Amino acid sequence: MIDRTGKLSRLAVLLALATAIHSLESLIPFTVGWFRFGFANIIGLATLYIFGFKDAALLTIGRILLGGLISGQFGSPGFLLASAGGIGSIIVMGGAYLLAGKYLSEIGVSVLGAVTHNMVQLWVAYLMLVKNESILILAPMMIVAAIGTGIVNGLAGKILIKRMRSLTPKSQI
Amino acid sequence: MRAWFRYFTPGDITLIFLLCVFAAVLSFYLPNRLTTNGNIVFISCGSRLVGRYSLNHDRVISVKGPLGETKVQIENGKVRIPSSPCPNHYCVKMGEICSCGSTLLCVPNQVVVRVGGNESQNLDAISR
Repeated sequence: MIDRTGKLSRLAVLLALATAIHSLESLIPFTVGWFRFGFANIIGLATLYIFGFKDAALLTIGRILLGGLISGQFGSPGFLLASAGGIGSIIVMGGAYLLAGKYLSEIGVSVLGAVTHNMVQLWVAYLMLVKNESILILAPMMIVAAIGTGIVNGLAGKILIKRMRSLTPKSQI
Repeated sequence: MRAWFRYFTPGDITLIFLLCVFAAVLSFYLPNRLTTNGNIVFISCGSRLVGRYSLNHDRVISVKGPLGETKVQIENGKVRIPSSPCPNHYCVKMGEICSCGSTLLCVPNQVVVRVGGNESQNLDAISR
């Protein structure tokens, strides 16, 4: 039996956490303007492993909408990039978890999600904003950056998933 | 070290390795693919446009600057500065260029050689 209230409240806390991380992360100063860690993806990853793809996709969309409202970016080009990257990455992470979950740990899934996030963002930026092919030269750099952040997020997600599983009764998963 | 490493499955490591190889291949492939060769050379000295020359016809142009004559050579679709009266010869060391938007520069003699492309040669800038 699935305890629907327990699941709902857990998902609500996760969504609030993801939104807070998503918004607060923009306060981390970086000299490279477009570089972000994507820590909010830790929550998306944990939701994917604990509650499944549907809830993880909903959480990601909700996180992007709420984060956009909080940071005042709703409807801006940055919001467009964030939503395209976020949705693309959760779809690929869900696919990787379902199809290759045997071979990949959370780290591999997270790396795939991060790389997809960056590539989708770059492609959308090329199609909608910049419209100049030279921007695609950034692709290798962004893949390498995504591998780094993906590993960090995957490790963090792995720890979070382990802790959450030990706290969540089996009936509520 | 080992405690940290055991978090990765063999699949993870293969995936990360493949992505690194992919990024390395792209970083060699994309710059060749995305830079287009120009077909026209703009030469200016200070704020004065000396002239525009086709990149397809071999010729040597002498540009008079404050220090003397800088030679600009167009050969085989590429342009370079073979000799210049400047002290450090950085412009000579810049080698030959042919891709659209690239520039040869001799600051002491105020010579700028810029390669332009096909369509946008009459426009200063495009905003979209």
